[in-house]
Amino acid sequence: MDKKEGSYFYLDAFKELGNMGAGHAASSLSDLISRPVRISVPEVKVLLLNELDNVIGGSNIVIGNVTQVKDETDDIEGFIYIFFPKKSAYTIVDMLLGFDPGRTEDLDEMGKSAISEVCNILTSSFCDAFADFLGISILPSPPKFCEDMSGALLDNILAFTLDEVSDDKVIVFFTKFKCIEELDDGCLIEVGYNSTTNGTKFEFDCYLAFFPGKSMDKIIELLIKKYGYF
Amino acid sequence: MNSDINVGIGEYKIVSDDDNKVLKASGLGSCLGVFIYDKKRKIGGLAHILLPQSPNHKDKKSLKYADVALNNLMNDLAEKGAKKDDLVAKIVGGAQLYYVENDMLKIGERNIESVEKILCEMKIPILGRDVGGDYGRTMEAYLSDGRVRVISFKAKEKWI
Repeated sequence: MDKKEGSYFYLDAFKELGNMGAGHAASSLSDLISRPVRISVPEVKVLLLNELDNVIGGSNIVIGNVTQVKDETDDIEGFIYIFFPKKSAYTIVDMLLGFDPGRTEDLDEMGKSAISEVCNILTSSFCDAFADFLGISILPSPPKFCEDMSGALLDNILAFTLDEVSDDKVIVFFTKFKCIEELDDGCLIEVGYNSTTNGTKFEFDCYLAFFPGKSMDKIIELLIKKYGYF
Repeated sequence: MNSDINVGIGEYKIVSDDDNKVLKASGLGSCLGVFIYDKKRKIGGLAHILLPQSPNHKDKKSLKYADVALNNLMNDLAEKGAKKDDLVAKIVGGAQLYYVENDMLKIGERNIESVEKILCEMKIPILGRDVGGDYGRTMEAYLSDGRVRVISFKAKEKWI
């Protein structure tokens, strides 16, 4: 296998790993809110540094969480970045605190800790599935609530990932979780469960990005060792 | 009307022929935006810097490092006709949004220090700054008069 073909293969294997984590995270989230959660567009992207703004960066204000994840030996060191558009974050708070949809319009301490908890659950279950598959254990650092420009939240991750790395490419596994209320046949319904008269429903989007950073080689090595790829 | 030119992380852009233009760096967290401007000739360049210092002996090309980006930016500005004695700088960013368990990640602070040192060595005065803190910023540098608008989620809009 030539090098180029090989690197595509790596990315595929890495994507499988991400899918597994995302699946686990989605079902944990679904348990928490007692509603179906769908995973959409899971993909692995290899991006140039200056392209990131268009994909997940920029000056959009998001609510979310950056968590550093490590294994016991520090061979694996990456970041998980989870974020919600503002309105989605408010919806989640409504759901978790048992409010009618649309009631939360700002985040108080209770709201912030609800969001942190959701991020925590998503991060841990993503890590668990991921680590199981690789046969290691991965420990997330405690989550911290952030509300700021998406691009600004990314800076530290990029600095950590790209320091002393000669090319300016970033590998990221990216996926979106979606909760929408629908009928069994997939059609959206006008008035969902627990909906108010103005038609507001419990719907939200949530994004998860995993940056393996300098651990990418180690992850591939573990995959090969455990599953005998190649 | 003004039109924006976006400057992504690890790149710089120069405008020399159109003073209606605005150079813009979005979502600066620990990154630092460095705007260098020749008021007499209305030539300006904006660099979006990720890291303070390139490692020794290698990697002298990547513009994500402060030293490499500023050197290249200065050369290009000179090529476009800017005069070194008329250049001034404004810097924005270098915040720390969250703590990560690793000292290396006081990256915002280190970016500020490094850029200040380099500009001092180049003898370019820093006329304005909005740096540090724990929040992200977007900067817009106006080529017509060299003013810089700083927008953030937590602080009020500011002109420097």
